[in-house]
Amino acid sequence: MTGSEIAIALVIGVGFGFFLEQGGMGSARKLAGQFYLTDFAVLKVMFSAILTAMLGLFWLGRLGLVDVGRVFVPETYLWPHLIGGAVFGLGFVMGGLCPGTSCVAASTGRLDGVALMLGMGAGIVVFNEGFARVASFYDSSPLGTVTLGDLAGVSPGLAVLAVVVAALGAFRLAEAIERRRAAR
Amino acid sequence: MSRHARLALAALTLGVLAALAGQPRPAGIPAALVEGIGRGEGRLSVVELARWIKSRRADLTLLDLQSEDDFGAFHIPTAERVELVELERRRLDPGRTIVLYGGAGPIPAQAWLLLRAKGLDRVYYLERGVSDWLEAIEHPVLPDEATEAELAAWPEIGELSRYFGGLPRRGGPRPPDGTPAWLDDPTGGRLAERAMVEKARRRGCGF
Amino acid sequence: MTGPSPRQERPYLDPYLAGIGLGLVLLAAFVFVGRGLGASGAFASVVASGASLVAPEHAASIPAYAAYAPEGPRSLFDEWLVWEMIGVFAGGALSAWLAGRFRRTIERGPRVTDRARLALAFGGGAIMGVGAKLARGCTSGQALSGGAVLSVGSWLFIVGAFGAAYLAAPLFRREWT
Repeated sequence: MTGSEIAIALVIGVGFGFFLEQGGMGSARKLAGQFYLTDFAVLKVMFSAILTAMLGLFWLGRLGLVDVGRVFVPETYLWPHLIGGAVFGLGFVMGGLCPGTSCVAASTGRLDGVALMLGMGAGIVVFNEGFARVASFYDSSPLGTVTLGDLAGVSPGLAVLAVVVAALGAFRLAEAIERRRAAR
Repeated sequence: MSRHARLALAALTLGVLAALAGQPRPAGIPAALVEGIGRGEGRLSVVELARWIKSRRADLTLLDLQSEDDFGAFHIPTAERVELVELERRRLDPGRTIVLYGGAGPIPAQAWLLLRAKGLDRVYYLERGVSDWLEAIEHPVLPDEATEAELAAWPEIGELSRYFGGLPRRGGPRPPDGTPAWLDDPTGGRLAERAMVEKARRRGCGF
Repeated sequence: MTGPSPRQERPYLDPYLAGIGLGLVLLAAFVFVGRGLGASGAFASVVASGASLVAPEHAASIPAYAAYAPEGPRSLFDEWLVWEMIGVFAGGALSAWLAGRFRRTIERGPRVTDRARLALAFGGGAIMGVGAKLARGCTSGQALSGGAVLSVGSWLFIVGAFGAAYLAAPLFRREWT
C-alpha cells in the first residue's frame, strides 16, 4: 500500500472509531439495550449511517461526481448470509459488542471489549480449522452481485426510497416505544 | 420543526427524488462515451470472439439481437437471443463480459450504446454480425496470392474454423473490399479489452 | 472501578447525528477508496498472520492462512482493513478523551460477575467470529457498508442478525439487566 493509501485508511478509521464512540457504540450495555427494547441507539446510529451513505452515494453518482460502478458491492450467498447473520446476532447479544465496536470499547478502557476481541480470534481459528466441514455450505446459494432493486425488479432509486421509508418507520417505532417506557 | 423532523424530511425528499431519478448516474450519454464511439470503442473482431468462445471463457455472455426466425436459421454457438427492448429492463451482471451481435444493421451498435450508457463497462459488439462470422469462421477462404500477414494468420483461422465445424478453404477469390473477414482487425478485440482492463473496477479486499 | 466519576463524563452525541457522521465517513470510503468499511476482515488477517508465524507448517495446509506465510504474498500491513482498524482504535480513544469517557471497567449488568461477563464476551466473540466468516463480514462490512449499497446478502445479514439477537435476548437477560 502506498503512503497516501495508508493515510486515507487511517483517517477513515479514525472517523469511524470517533463517531462510533460518540454515539455510545463502545458501550456493551448500551448496545445490548437494543435487544431489550431499552436503548435504540444501535438502530438509530446504524440506519442513519446507512441512509446517509446510501443517499450520498446515489446523488454523487447522479450528479456525475462519482462512478457508482466502481464501488465494491459484496456478492450475495443467500444461506451463508442469512445463517451467518443469525449466528452473528446470537454472538452479538451474548457479547454485547461487535468486531468494530469491540475495538472502540477496548481503546476506551473496557476490558470486556478486549475479551471479545480475543474471542473473535478464537472463533476465526475454529472456523478455519474446521473449514473443510462447512466448505460446501460456505459456497452454497451464490447469487452473484445482486441489489435490492435487481431483486424486486425496480430501479435503484426506488429501492433507495423504500429503504428510506423503512428506516424512518423504524425510527418512529423506536421513539414510540421509548416514549411509552418513559411514561411508565 | 424539530431538528430530527427536519433531517427526516430531508432524507425523505432525497429518497423521493432518487426514485424519480431512477439511476445513480447522470442522465443522457456521458461525453467520454461519445468520444469513445468516435474512436471505434466497443467493436470486437469476429476472430477474437471465436477465440473467447473456444477458450470457454467463463465470464462471457453472448447476446444475439436477431429475430426469432433468423436466430433459428443461424446463430453463433453459445449465444442467447434477446430483444433490444429487453436490454433496457434486464439486469446484467457488471462483472461479466457481454458481447452483442445481430444480422446486418445498426441494432448491435445501438444495444452497445444502451448498455454502456447504463454503466456496464465490459460490453462489445460485432459490427457485421452473423455475415462476418459465416465468412470468417464457417467458410473462411485463403485468397490466391495471399499476403504475408494473411499466410501467418491462416493456421489459427483454420483451427478455429474446424473447432466450430466450419470448412476452411485454401485458394479462392478475394472479398470485394480486399480484406478477408478473418484477418484480425487491430482495433478490435485484444486492444479494446486491454483498455477496459486498465479501467477495471477496483474491488475491495474484504475477505 | 477507576476513572473519572460519571459526573465528568459528557453525554453521548445524539445517535442520529453520530449515525450521520458515521455515514459521511462511510461515504468518504466509497468515494476515495471504492469500498466500504470493515472490521472482521482485519481480525481474520491478524489470525492468519499469527498462525503463519506461530505454526508455519500447519498454517501452510490451511487455505485461509497460506497467503500469509512468512515468504508469502501477503503481509498484515498490506491490508487496508488493518490500517483502518488502527484508526478505529485511535478514533475511539480520541472521542472518549474529548468527552471524558475513558473508564477502565467491565461493562455488565448488576446480576452477573466480572468473570462471567468476560467469559460471555469471549464466547460471544467466538460465535461472532464464525458468523462473520460465513457471511463474509460483520456489522461494519456487511450491515453498514453492504447495506448502504443495497446488496441483498447484506440485508439478509441484517435480518438474520437482528432476528437472532432479539430471539436469543431472553437467554442473556441476567447478563444485562
